[in-house]
Amino acid sequence: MQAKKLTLCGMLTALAVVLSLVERLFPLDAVVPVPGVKLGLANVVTLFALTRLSARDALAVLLCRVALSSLLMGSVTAFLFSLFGGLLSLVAMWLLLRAEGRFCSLLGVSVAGAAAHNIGQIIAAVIWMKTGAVVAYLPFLLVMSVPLGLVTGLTCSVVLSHMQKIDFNV
Amino acid sequence: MRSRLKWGDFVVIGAVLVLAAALAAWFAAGTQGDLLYAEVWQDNALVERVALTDATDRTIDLDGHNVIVLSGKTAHMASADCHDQVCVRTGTLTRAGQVAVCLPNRVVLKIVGETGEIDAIVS
Amino acid sequence: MKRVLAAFLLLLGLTGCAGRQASYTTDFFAMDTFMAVSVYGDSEDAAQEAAVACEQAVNALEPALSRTREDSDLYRLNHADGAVCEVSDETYAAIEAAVQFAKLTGGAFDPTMAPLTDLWGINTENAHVPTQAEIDEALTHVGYENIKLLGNNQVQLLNGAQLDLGGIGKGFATDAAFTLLAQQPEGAATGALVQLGGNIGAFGENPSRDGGNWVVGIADPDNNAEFLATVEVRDASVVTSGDYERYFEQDGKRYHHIFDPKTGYPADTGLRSVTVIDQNSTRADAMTTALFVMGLDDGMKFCQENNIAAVFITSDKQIYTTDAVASVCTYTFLGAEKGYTDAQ
Repeated sequence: MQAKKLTLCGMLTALAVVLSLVERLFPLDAVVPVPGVKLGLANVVTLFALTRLSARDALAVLLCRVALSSLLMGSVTAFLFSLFGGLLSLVAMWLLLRAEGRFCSLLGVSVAGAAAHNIGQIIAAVIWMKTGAVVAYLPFLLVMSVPLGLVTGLTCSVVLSHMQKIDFNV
Repeated sequence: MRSRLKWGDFVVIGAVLVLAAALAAWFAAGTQGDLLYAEVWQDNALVERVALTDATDRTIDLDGHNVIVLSGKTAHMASADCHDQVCVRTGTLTRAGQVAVCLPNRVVLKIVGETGEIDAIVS
Repeated sequence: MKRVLAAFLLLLGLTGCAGRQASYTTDFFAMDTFMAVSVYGDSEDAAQEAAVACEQAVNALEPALSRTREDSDLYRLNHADGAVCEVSDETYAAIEAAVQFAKLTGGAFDPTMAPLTDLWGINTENAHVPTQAEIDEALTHVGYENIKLLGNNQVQLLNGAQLDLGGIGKGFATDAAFTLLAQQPEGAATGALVQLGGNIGAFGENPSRDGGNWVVGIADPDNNAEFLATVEVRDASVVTSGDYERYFEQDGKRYHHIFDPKTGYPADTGLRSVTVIDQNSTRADAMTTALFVMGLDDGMKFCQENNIAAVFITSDKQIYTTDAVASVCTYTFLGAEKGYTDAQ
């Protein structure tokens, strides 16, 4: 059981790193002139880890993903942005998941996570660039996070229902 | 499927969009993000640093030697007791990068802020 | 969990190598003007080191170029009554440059105007129009031919000439700062903006703009805080001489500080300012003065012959640019709303 969980964590981390790499294909910093802002595709992995594993495992996967992906391609800014974004997203989704099923679906959880990811990125940018002016880009990022959150939430939900079908358990 | 939409999903999406709209409105009404500051230096030491907004209305008197007036998003050297009056003649500063210098009194008034149209003025 | 954390911290340390652009600005007073040097580099420490080194270099040049400080080479030379004097390497190099540009401009730029500026008292409490007899007397001492460069740092001033390197001093200091910035370790100073009074030096890459250029506004003669045009430059110096910076008024007439070596009066050529863009700031400094004295027609002709990038602003609100401007920078005319016309 323990080995299976560890393997899953490793695979999730690998998947998350790949998603971080794929993210680079969408040059978001061309629209938002804050070098280092990301879509947050890897949040889907965090969401999955939160639903199938524990918050602790999700955090471990997140930290490893952030460290590995910034080591692979990043600057300090990219590292800081994905760390803040990832952590805030994790907290938001973890809280909302408790109400999932009654209050909202995975889609709502995922949208909240995407929004929190962008808020986290901007907080990091404010700290790093020492200017509050970057908050001006937050409205645009928040609007973006709605379709993105819906897509990642849907992806996660499809994967989960498929796993239920094949009776995959951790 | 755990993606069947529930009422709470709309609450979440609505909250995100409302937050976005509120922030956008706040920035549109405010400074549009390009905050300007007026800095007053005397003998290479910063005396005052004041954020310039539409509501700014201040007069800084450096012991009667130089009088600096900050008004709205502008700053100018209103008077100086030096003989060349170069700083007073420099006029009103409105953009980041502009400087009014009183050499005899070693007083510098400058506007700093986000990267503006220009990096420096040659005169 | 502990292991994960340890691995994470290790990776964090590794990612710490990648940098971002840091900057440091130093403001100071030197050479009777306000100066600001902003250096951009990979780390704030390195940028600060480079900026402070520039400040020190400029301060170190002051005794070499000043004629008012009693401990300076020029003071000694000017008070030597025509005797041969030995000066420092820097002073000698600056005098050589001044003489070279005086020759090139046929004396329109002249480093021996000190007796005239002193006579008019520009920038002092008792600025006034002298009598014609006084001006004629002062003019007998003016002329760069009176400077004898004898090699081995030996200089002699004939005919009561007095040297004043104020016309190229800031340019010379800007060039010194550029040399220093270029010698900084890789990445320490990737870009810098050197503002020495009216001399702007744009070094390397501007990290705050796409394309990395520096945008310099050319001042409106009637309001120094505004500009009539911009030039986008890189690794170049932009220098302006204008009639508005230092002047006094007597009997309703305005007298400015740029004198015509031929007449002994402020050059009255219908120009408000001349801006020169050049890699060599010393040359740019000398050229702005010379072109202002030459006037628009002779100045434009001189620039075409010598491939000088210059922007002339006339008192009838016309702005002229020479052909070379387009090849050294991106020029944008912005003076329409202030009543100026682009004469091209």
